[in-house]
Amino acid sequence: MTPRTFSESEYCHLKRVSCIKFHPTKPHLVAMSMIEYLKFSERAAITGKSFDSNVLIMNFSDSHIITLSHVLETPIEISTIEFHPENPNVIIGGCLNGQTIIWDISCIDLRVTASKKSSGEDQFGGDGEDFTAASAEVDDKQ
Amino acid sequence: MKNLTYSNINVSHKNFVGDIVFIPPTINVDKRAPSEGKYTHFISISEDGIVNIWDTRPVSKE
Repeated sequence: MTPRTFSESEYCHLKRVSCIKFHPTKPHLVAMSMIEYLKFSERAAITGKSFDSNVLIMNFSDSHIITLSHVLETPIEISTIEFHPENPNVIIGGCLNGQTIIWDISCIDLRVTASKKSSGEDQFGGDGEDFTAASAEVDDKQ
Repeated sequence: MKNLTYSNINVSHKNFVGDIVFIPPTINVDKRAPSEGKYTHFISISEDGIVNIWDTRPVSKE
C-alpha cells in the first residue's frame, strides 16, 4: 500500500492544516481547515486581523485522483471544525478570534461558482445580496 | 462557498476556539425547551478559559 498524495497550489500553498474531520455519513469526504504557516512573533503582530482563509472538503471516492468537492470561504482563520451529526451538510467552525462560523454546503444561494469568482466587480452586487440575507438571519438568531 | 452565519463577536470567545463538540440528544441542556431527541446544542471551548454552549435552533421573536 503506497500513500496517495494530494498537491494543490491555490489553497494549500504555504499553509498548515489545523483540523481534519471525516464526514459522518459519507466516509470518502474529508474536511480540513487551512491556516497560514506563521511563527509566533508573526502571528502576534497580526492577531485580531481578518484575512481570507479556506476550509477544503476533499473527495477520496476515486481511487486514483483526489478531488476538491467544496471550498468553504471564511473571513477569519479556522482552528477547529465539526460536522453536524444529524444534518452533515451543516459544518461548524471555530475561528482563531473566538467566533463560531456555520456553513451549509447544501445551500445553493451561498454557492460561489468558479466563473462568478473570477469575473470582478460586476458580479459583486449579487454576492452582496447574499451577504445581506445571511446577516438578516444573524439578526433573527440574536 | 460562503458561510451561512457567524456568531456575535460580543458573546463569542476572546481567544481561539480549541474544540467544538455536539451534545448528544439524550442530555437535556435547556429545561424550558427540551431537545426532543435532536442534536440542538453544541459546546465550544477556548483558550480564554470559557466554555460556551450554543443553541442552534432559531430564536422565536416576541
